[in-house]
Amino acid sequence: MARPDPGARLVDLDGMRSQLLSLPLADGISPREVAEYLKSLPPERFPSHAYKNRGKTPCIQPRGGVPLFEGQYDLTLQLDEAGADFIPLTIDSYTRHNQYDTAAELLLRSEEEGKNYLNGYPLVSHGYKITRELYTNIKKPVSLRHGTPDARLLVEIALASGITEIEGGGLCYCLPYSEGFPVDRSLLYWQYVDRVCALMSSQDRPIHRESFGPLSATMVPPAITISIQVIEALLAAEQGVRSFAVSFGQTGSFTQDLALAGVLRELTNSTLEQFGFTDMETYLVYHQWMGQFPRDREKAAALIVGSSIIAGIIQADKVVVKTVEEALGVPNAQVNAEAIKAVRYAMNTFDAADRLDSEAVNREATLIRSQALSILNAIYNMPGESFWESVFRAFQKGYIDLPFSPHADNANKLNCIRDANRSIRIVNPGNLPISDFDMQQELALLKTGDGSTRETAARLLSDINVMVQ
Amino acid sequence: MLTKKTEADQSSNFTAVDVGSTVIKVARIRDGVVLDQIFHNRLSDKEIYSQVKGILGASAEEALSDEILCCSSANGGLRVGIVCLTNSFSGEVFRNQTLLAGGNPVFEQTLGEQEPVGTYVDILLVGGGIDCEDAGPLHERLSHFRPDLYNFGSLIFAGNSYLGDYFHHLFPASHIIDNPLTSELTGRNLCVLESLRRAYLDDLVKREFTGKLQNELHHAIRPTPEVVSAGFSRILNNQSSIKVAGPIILLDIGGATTDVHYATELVRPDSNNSPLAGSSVARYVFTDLGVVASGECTRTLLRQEHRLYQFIESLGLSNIRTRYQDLREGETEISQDLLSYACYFMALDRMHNKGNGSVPTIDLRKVSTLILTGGASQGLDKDALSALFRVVSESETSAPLIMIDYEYQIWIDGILSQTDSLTSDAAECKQDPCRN
Repeated sequence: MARPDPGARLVDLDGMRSQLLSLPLADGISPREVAEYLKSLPPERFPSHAYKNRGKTPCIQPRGGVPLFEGQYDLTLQLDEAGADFIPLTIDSYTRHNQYDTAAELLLRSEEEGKNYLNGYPLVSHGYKITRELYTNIKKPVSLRHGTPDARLLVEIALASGITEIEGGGLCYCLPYSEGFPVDRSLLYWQYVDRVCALMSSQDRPIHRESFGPLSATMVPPAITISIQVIEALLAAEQGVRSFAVSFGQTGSFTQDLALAGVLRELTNSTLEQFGFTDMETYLVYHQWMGQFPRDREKAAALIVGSSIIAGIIQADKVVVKTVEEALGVPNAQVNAEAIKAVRYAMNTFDAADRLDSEAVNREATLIRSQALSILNAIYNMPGESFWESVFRAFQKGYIDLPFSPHADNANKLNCIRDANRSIRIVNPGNLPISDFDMQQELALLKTGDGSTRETAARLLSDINVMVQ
Repeated sequence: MLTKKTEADQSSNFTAVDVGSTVIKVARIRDGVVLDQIFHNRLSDKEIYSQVKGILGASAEEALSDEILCCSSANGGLRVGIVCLTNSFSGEVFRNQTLLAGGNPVFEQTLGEQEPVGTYVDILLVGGGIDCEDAGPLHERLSHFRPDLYNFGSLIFAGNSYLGDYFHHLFPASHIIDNPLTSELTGRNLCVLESLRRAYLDDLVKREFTGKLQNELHHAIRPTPEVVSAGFSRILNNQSSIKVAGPIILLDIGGATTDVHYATELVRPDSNNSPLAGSSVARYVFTDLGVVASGECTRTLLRQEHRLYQFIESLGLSNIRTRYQDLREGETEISQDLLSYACYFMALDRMHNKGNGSVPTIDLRKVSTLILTGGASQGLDKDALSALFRVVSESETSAPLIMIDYEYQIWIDGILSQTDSLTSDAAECKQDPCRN
């Protein structure tokens, strides 16, 4: 049994790191030079500064990455001018899967033909020297958005480029993004990332880590979201990370969003304190609807505005925004800029003075809290030499089971459908270690209202497509 | 009489023994540190028990009070024939679990579609299908199955459990074990692996080896490839004194075979052979690549190698044209080191470029560290190995760190490791997975 432990730092990092940085693609990165460079950046380039000075409404972050340097430079300036509080750098799929040769070939082809043959910025191929120049005139934090189970080299290059927010984690960037990457290795590699982020931090300029809470973005019950977010906060804290954001994606239920936000924030902080991690600053990030988006621009705009209001009500520290062209492909800079302005307008206009509360929200929160604690306690009691191993064994057991994960090793026994309130309800817990009482509550809540006679499969399909009907 | 301890975990003094085809290796370990290692040639005229006992007795007085940990590849590994319903499901799971158990799949056939193979195998493994009552296709094919046309030591059925009794009725001498595909087609049940591991031991005991020795050990004798695989896992899990930045690939070049252990994230999505579900390490064995028992075969393959010129050139040898011509025409002797390079080159090439049959296709360009272990790799030159790697991977950007396990640390890590994830998972199977 291995519980989270402040003394469980990754051993012999230096040896592993020097091997990794000796690869030709690392282009001679010097950890000492990178640490000095990061220290020399203005405080505004760090998320902790942005969060502490954000005012009443959440910070806004769009998504965006294009293959060519010039295109990324223009996109960065336009997003900055449109008022984004965080500047994104979204990485292409080949780089995410460590296929650096292919990414380099397609970058070359994109440069030669002036067309985009990659769906993001191939950071490893560009290297850190030129990428630093993207942000010379930017006074905002830059966030690395990818989906990479083995992000060690990518993150080394990102940090060397002056990117101060690293999204991802051993579970959240493996289970939704990979079919076969071994989960134990993903956890271990993200320990490396966490440790390097901690080492590259200075007292007033911490490198910020953010977990990806939407996961598969399809019928994920809140207890799973919270469990994975808390686990990844603990794993990062073990390695010395001091600035961390947990996150979740809009569930599709107003009630469940309010309840989930409260419990996620509460359990993250109480659990970190429980295990002696008292120096980690935590933040809450809300992702606008991550499921299938309406193709109709008016509906898409309404959905974006609705979730902007929810982001304000739950007092998120940051909202990651979508655009009206989400269903159509990768949005251009103009559409992204419009989305930033629309979200800003909605959040300022419908500013919530305080968090909303109701009996339904409280009941939902009680149920979510109970389930998440059951799962977390079961994980703490799993065998292992260190906490990441306990997490891995819990995954093997199906205690962590992500609906609609493409990963071959996911248990796939957990089934959920929506109730009349559109809240995600567990109908079959699989191996999830939740109590019979909580399951009865789930089933009782499912029965109220709807009374649907639809076939389960049809109902599930309808629930997945909830925002496009 | 060797001393047998009852509380293995309390001991920190071990003597580790590896019985190979040509060499017996003995290491004394104190508090996790290797005190010394001794190598003895296998004496073909001497029974292994006597020889091992003699070595232990002669190596040091204190070794007699040690906990003895033993592994063996003395008989060249357990030979397994696979007859399955489909190559892509049951065949793949059988093959992967056989390899992880340290066995060597000799052939793989689709049930009822191919002529029986006369080659001798220790185990003939038959099965397929998920556990379900509706078992018509498998039932039909089993009714025509003729094990008497195969040449095997034991017959094991690991298919749809609803047909276990039927199979046993048809072939009363067979053993029935759990179906690794269960009712979910995942292959996560490791009972084939566990059964083969036990069969490996039984095979060792039955053959020339060591009924006596086994009786005197607290721990079971383990297959050497499985021990190396456990050591490999320890490296990947950052639990070894060998520190590397993965993904890693490990080659164990031996007399009879070349074993490749690899991190499963290296497997290409379009590989013919996917890793076992839930496993983060995998093994593949080339039974035609080796420096002693398979030496002649390796020589022949090298002479036919289409990139022979590049091979010689990468080794930095002089008179390349002459050497090339001599090798092609079989007019020169091939040294053991050259054979080792050939095993290395051809094993990597088959895994990176060929991807046919049951050979998994891996992306060498993702390899961060390449390790060689085993006696045949001790004299190899790292620069030559790097050059050969570049020829195979056809990449200028990938330049893995090459390491040679001079101290046999991987074997030490593996043999000290009693609880790697696979063994602990396999232990969750029934204690005796055979029902008959």
